[in-house]
Amino acid sequence: MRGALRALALAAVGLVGLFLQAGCEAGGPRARAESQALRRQAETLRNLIDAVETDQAFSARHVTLGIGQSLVRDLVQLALPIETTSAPDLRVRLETTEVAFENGESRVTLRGRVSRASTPATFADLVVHGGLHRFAVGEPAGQVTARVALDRLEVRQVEAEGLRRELVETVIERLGQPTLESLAAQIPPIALPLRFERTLSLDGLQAGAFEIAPASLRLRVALAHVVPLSGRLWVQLAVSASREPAERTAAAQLQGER
Amino acid sequence: MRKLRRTAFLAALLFAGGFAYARFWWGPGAEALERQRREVRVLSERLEARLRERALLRDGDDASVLVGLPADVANRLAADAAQGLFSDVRLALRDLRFRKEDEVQARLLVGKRTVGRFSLSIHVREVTARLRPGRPRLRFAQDRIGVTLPVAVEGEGRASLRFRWDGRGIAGAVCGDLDVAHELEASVPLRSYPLVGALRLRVEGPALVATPEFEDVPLSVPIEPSAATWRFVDQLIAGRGALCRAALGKAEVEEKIKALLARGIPVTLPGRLLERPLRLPLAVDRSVTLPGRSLRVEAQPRDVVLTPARLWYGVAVSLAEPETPL
Repeated sequence: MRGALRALALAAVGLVGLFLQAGCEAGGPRARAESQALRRQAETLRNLIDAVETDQAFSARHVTLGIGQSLVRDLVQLALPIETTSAPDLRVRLETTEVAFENGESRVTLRGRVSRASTPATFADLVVHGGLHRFAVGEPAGQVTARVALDRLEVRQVEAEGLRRELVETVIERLGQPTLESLAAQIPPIALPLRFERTLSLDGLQAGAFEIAPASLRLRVALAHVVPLSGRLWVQLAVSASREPAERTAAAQLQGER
Repeated sequence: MRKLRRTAFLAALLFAGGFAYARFWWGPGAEALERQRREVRVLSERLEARLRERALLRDGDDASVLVGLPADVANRLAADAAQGLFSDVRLALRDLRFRKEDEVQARLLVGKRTVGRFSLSIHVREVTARLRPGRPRLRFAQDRIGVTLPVAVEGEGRASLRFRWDGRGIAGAVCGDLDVAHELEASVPLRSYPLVGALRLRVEGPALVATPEFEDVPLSVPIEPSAATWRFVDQLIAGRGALCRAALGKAEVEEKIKALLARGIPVTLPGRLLERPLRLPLAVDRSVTLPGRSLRVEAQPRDVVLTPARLWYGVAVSLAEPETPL
């Protein structure tokens, strides 16, 4: 009886040891996060390939915009620095950004510092990861806009006055989602400096025996797909046109004359 | 026995904990991660290849904004623009005069003799026609887009007709002279003309501008009198005696009117009517404004590339501090 018990205990301890050994050979929390991100990317890419191959995305029916990541980075940078103070006694300030459009994912990385509000000299370098989302074509401006969403904090390096990394990480974990949301809320919607005119107008004209009446065409622009790939944000837009009623054209012309 | 059960329970707990730790807490090993990275790379390359072959994506080295317009979309928008913006083109013609006069000869018992002389004059007081553009066909090539635009012309008009008959010889004695006038309603029957030209592309500031280039197009606008006109002609002849009817029949009044009007009114559709630059309705903003801050947007046009399937143009966009006024 006792022998069986001992054997069972030994087997359990042995198995746990094996698990620990396997765990130690694996990459830790950072590898787990990367693995999850890669899984998400692969899923997104598979869906995109499927959409392209079945003509659901990037067909000849859409106008395509390719926006370079450096332009989007400059636009996000305009909103910086941003900062927030959260309990307990921590101030987060983000100052620079990097933007990457690769593998079907838009990545926005913000860099800055987290410091004690009471002792600003005590700080750690901070990296906040996020992406662009909620793409839209604004009404009535006709601009393509997106919001920055932040989803992960990372402490990179601790500086000065004995602030222990473990402590900072613990505090950051405690800050969590509300801090990220508070920071993201301070970044206004990123508006690409491109504008779709909503109306095409033609003035009236007389030439010889011919006369053209003034006319307007109303353009409708709708967002079809957004694919971050190869350093660009590929935005697909469905554009259609319809004739504007004559009375509206006349009113617009009258307004123009005034 | 109880001790065994407790030990087994603890062992199971230890096992489950160890498994969860290794499976969920620790991430995958370096090899597994590399496998995942490789899979993402392969999928990404596959997606890019699909996009390049289907959407014909291209890369403009230093253009931070690329705009791609597929030929299908351009054709659809051009049709909408032609039919929406040029849907109310009117042609108005006034005070046009046509005249035909001739001698009418007939074979009589004593040989061929002149039986009379007629004069037919038509005064077109007004013709109004409407031009309706059809669906244009575009061809992308080099720096221009070839355009063939069918235009249908249809309308109506008012005219006055005057017929004078100066009878000669026996016909003159029987018929006498005639001088009749008639107000006629006419229609401009539907006829279609192909307008052939091109849209020359150039990048103007931050916008792509298409300037139509069309030659003057000669049109011939035919006029078709209404049924009332033919009734008038019939009555004009029917009310006369047999000899007079025969003489007027020789004059072939109806055919003469038809021939006179069927040649149509020559009109030139001036190319400059269509030559108004059209801006692609996508432009780069002049500035970017954020709360408390405004920056100037500098846009340098790059290249315009036309392939049979798609038009691409690029703009290098950069942000700069606003110029301070001097």
